Amino acid sequence: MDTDLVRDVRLHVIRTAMDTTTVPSASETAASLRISDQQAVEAYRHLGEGHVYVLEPRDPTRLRMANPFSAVPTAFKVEASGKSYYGNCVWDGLGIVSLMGGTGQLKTRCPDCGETLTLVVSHRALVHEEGVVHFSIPAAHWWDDIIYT
Amino acid sequence: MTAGQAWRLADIWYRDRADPNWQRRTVEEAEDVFADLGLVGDFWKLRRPPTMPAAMGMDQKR
Repeated sequence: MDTDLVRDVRLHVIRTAMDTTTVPSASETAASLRISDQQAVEAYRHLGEGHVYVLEPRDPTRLRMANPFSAVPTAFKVEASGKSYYGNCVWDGLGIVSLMGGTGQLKTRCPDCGETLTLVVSHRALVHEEGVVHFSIPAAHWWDDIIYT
Repeated sequence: MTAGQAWRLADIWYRDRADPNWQRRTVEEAEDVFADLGLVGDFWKLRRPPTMPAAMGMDQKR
């Protein structure tokens, strides 16, 4: 696979997500980059195999995750640069804040009691450092089922 | 991990994701990031431990 093409597709996807809050399909990417649908699908497959992005299960023309962005609504809502995004988890949600310049906030809910939890970041510093983030899956098994993770 | 560690991890991990020269970290580089943040121990190892060798005399008919 042409590495320059894969790079261009990777960048188009993440820049589109940053600018529009949506993750483009392979055909949308193909149209924007003036490549064939097949090339875009192949690039998506390559990025999925490389664990850069995550394909939508059973639909190789779409992404479920354009890390750190989720292509679907999740429990990890981010406000940054005047826009709203969804992250795939706390790590990715904070990653969106970082990618969007380092100022923003992540809102989620405690899975135990349902209380709303907010992490506020200002100029690349976490405003309040209280709280913990729980990982239930060891690192060696994250990619066994990354959507579950 | 603490919320502070989570932020620092996310900032290191994603800050340059839109850079055309960004490259995916190797396993070693990723584990170094974790270790630098104090995320150490078997839970944070990305490589799985080798499985026990099968032929240790336990699976052979006597």
